[in-house]
Amino acid sequence: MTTALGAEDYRELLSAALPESTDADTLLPDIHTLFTPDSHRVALYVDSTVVRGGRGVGKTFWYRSLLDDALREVAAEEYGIERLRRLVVSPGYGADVEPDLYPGTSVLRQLVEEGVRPYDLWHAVLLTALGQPELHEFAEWRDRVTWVRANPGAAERTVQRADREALQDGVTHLVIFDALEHLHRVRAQADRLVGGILELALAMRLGTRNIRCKVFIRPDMFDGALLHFPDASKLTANAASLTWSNANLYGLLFHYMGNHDSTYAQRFRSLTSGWETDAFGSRHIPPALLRGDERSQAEQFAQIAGPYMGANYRKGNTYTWLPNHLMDGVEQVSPRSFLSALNKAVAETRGTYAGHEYALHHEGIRRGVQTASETRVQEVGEDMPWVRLAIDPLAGRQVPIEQDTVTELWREMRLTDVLLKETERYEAGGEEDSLVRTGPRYPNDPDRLIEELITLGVMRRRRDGRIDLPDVYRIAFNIGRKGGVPRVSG
Amino acid sequence: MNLPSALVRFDDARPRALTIARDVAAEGANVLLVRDVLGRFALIVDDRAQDVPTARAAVWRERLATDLQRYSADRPLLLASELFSADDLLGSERAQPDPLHIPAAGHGSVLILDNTVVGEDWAQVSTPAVETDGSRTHRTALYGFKGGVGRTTAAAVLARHLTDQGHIVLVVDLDLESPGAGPLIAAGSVPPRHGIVDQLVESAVDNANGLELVGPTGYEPRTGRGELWVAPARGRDTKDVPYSYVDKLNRVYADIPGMDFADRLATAVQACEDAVARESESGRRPDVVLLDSRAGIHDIAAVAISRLCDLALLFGADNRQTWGGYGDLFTAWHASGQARAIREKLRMVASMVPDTPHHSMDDYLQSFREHSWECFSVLYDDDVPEAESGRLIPGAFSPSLEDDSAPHYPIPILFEPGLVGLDADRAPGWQDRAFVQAAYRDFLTTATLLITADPQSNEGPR
Repeated sequence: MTTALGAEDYRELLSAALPESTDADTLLPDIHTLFTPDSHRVALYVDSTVVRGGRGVGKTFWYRSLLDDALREVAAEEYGIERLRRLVVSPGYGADVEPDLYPGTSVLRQLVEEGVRPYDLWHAVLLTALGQPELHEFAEWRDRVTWVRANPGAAERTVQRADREALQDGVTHLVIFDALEHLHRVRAQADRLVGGILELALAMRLGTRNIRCKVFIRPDMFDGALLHFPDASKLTANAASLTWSNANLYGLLFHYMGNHDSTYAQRFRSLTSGWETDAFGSRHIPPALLRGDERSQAEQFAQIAGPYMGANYRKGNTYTWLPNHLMDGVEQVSPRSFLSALNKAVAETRGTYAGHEYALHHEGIRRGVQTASETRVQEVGEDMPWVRLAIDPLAGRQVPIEQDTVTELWREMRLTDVLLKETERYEAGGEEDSLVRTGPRYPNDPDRLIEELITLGVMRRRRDGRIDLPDVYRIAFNIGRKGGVPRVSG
Repeated sequence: MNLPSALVRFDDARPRALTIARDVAAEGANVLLVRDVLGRFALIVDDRAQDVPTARAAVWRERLATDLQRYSADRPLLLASELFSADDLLGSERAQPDPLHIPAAGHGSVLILDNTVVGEDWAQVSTPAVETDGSRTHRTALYGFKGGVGRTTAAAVLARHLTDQGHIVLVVDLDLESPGAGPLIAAGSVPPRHGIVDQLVESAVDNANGLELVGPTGYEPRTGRGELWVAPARGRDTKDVPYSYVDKLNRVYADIPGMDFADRLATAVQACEDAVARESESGRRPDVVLLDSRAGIHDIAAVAISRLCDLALLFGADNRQTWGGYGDLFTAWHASGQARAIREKLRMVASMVPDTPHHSMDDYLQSFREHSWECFSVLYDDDVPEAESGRLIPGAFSPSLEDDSAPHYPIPILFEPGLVGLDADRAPGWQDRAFVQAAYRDFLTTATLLITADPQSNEGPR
């Protein structure tokens, strides 16, 4: 027999099950929490070469999961993608330091300075993965690239042999790329390096049957690479995107709740019947209605947070409210923002509204958005410190704001100088190398800077041309919104 | 050399008068700015608690006359101590605080009293209270700035839907100058003997007892105990005496002793609701009343939206007329200090939304949403970071573009050419057709939830 979970029980479960708000990169995938939203299926197709996704949507998550045999098996099972079971996966680039498998940041910088062709460089990485014997004799990537350039015939034969053997063995070699924002601090160089990866990926797609690349990439970086490798547009047609619908976000929440190692989670599962244990006996898979049916999810979430953001429907729906307020300018919600908002909502409810009839109080949820906004700004700041530098001068202002006002503020603050100095700071090298992130593509062209921020979803343009900021950025940056009614303090 | 200054016109006068009023208030006295029916201003200074030196008064008087020119009243400055009925004026419920004035320490307050011939009801927002027995009649006004936006058709579809949900629904046709809801909703049934106009003219001579104001529509809900009633604007013709609609209409807007037009209209709606309780088999008052208001900036609309309803659905298409019209309306509410009270009652409806392969509903609604937000932002809080801390003050009513519970966020109704010029009498069952259901799906779901929710403020009619 199952008794319903009370408000405090749900609070216990939520605060235990929701991940701490740590850096997304350090949040490793784990067999219990691996969640497989339907919308990510296409991204895992072996033939989906380019997988686009903004910061915090799960690029690194899937990158790591593909490298892990057990997790890949789970994905294969859950998505019903048999090809995932017959892969030989190797990293082509990533945030981890793997000097034998791919060059690190300082090596890349050196190679770029020496004028190495990016294609040759990644070709060397691929051949290393395919087991080219000569390459293993060289410790330095510079020497490996030189060999590849000098021995095109041998390189070609290796690819051909590997392809044929893979066919006979019934496997596919998959070389995967992630963390491309670490490639090079100079945006144009990063774009060239990405262009090289895409060129190689396309060559394998067109020239082999069983060697494939998969490139996890931020949309703005993919667009940037198109400038350096026009054929990359051939990859656009089947590029997949990692997006999170409302149903996916709530599916993730319920998955976390049902997979925690506690009696609350167990009671939650029996209350929401239909959970299955996966083929490996290690995970609990939510029933389809809880995974992806908005109506059922809304009903379940109403058990946790009440149906409305206040007294009744006129105050808004709890189910849609959170995603609507966390959406960025390109209408994406990062799952980490979503989970951190809920985490804050639990803490706030416990602290201030402990007697509330539901586990989450709507004021707690409102406060959660504030926290999620800070999380988001921090998240983007890690990848692109320049975004922070560009938005900070707008603090204290109000949106919608004229584009000219923005560029004027930037001019007053000498943003171009600041951005260039920031680049120089990285140029100083040393330990900072591991923190290399992509700067803006056009630091000295304010109008194009704005376009970049729009592409990133940090800004959005109204139809009348003015610039707006979605709440998820606006709040943490302390930027107001224009209205007609003056607020009386107190 | 003094250049001849430009003439002060109507629009210039108000900001000039307010500036003077605020300056005078800054010297410590409470002031009331009165505008007469021609638009001229007089400033009443409350000198009862503290004396105003004659010299100061003379300076202010001079400034009013100079700055306002033709728009200063014959006696532009009045001292409360010299007035016969200062309390009535200064304590008038019609006087509204200056919405843009935040008095500093030691400053007096600024009130504005606007005397107009018509349309004053826009400036008096209130929400109907619960009934004495604790039940609540949810009153929703359906309004369009421009006619022809499918408002009445939507009212008809919505009324049936609510009836199907088990509610006792009354539709009141307040579009007196061009009645339509009555015939559309009552299709086929015999209209009642009397209409709203009869109630208005008869009650003026204290003769409203025994009027037959509402009629059952004969609509049978699919399930449940719902009933659909209609109170048409116009009553039924009889054989013997001609029904003189125009003669009646010409008399409905008059104020009668003790009752202005708004009171009369409120009483008429109340009478229709009482009639339902009296005449229905269930003996219950309606749960839901839909007020089909007339279009434009008109007194009926003013009363319906500002006072009679707890929810106003504002219909519009995404075009210049819509946003220009609503812009004027919202500006008037803002200027009269009603922004906070009215914004909680409003919700935008995007009617006649196109959805074709080349022009998708999403594109249209995106554009609609931005224009709507722009228009509504006059009524939203100015969310500005605090000067000292540079941080935002939490809790502003300043909804984002995507906030699907905000007043500006449109509820869509798809454009359906099959409904243009519908003759309800000759198209029985039209509301059940699949294309109609598809066009109204989102509207019916959302509007039902909004209508049946309790209003956010609950102050009752003043």
